[in-house]
Amino acid sequence: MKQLLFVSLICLLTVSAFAQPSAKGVQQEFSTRTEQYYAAFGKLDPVAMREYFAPDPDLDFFDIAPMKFAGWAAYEKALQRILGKYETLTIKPNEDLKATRRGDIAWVTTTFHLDGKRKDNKPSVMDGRHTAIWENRAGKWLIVHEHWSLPTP
Amino acid sequence: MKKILCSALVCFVAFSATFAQTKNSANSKTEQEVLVAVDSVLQALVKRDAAVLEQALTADFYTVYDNGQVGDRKLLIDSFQVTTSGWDAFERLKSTVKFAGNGAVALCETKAKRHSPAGIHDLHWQTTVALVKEGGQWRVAAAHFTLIKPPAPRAAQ
Repeated sequence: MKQLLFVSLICLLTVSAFAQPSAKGVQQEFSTRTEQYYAAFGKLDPVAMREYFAPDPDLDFFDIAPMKFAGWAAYEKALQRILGKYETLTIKPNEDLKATRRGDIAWVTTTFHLDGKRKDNKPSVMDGRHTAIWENRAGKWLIVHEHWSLPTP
Repeated sequence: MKKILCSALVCFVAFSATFAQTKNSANSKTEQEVLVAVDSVLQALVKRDAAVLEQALTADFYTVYDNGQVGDRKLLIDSFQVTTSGWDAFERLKSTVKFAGNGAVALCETKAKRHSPAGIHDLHWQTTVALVKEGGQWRVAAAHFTLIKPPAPRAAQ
């Protein structure tokens, strides 16, 4: 009987170890993570954004232009050029954000609002779409692909 | 003790196989499976095939459309009943597949022909498709299409 209880306990612990967090928990976790990532844009410094990205040279990122960048190094250079045009920049996800996770991959789909002031004094206000793919690498969630775009006029 | 350890090991292996999220080996066969899953969704959109979409999209499929609206699987399938607009053809061009965790991300250039009351549109997209393997089948979990070139509508013939 003791043996049976022990084995049951081991089984229960094993199941717990692999159990997926609840959908609500994932939604909350990645909403916060997305807000933090968006807030990093406000620092206008791509270096502050490095912590969110996987550094692999073979990953692709799609920006609003729409341009495709191969690898974080190329993307960082582009961000430097873009962020350098701004005095202030605020990006916020809208309430339609949805985060889904399966094991070590998660994807976040949302629309967002961008409000910025450029150095040439031109306002920059837009609403757009964003999909980000996150991968859990050794306990740290990193963006392995993202896709920004503007709605079709 | 041996018996217990053996039972525990069997439990561990059994549950690992069921629940563990393992990285897929990114071989070309798996890549092809992923792209076949993408194509099945594109062709189902052309045929307005709800049954195929039910299978090819995850239950929690979610996407943001090019007009900025978001939608799930039900909304997409239900749209077949309420709109006369539709897809006439999809052609997947350059495609790459990246594996992350137990999922995959297909990045494709896609050409499409769409009809609407305004006319016929030739569209050229930059596409991100997130997929996961469920029940031994790759299913599309999220998608994001962006026009590379704005559509030039032409009159329906």
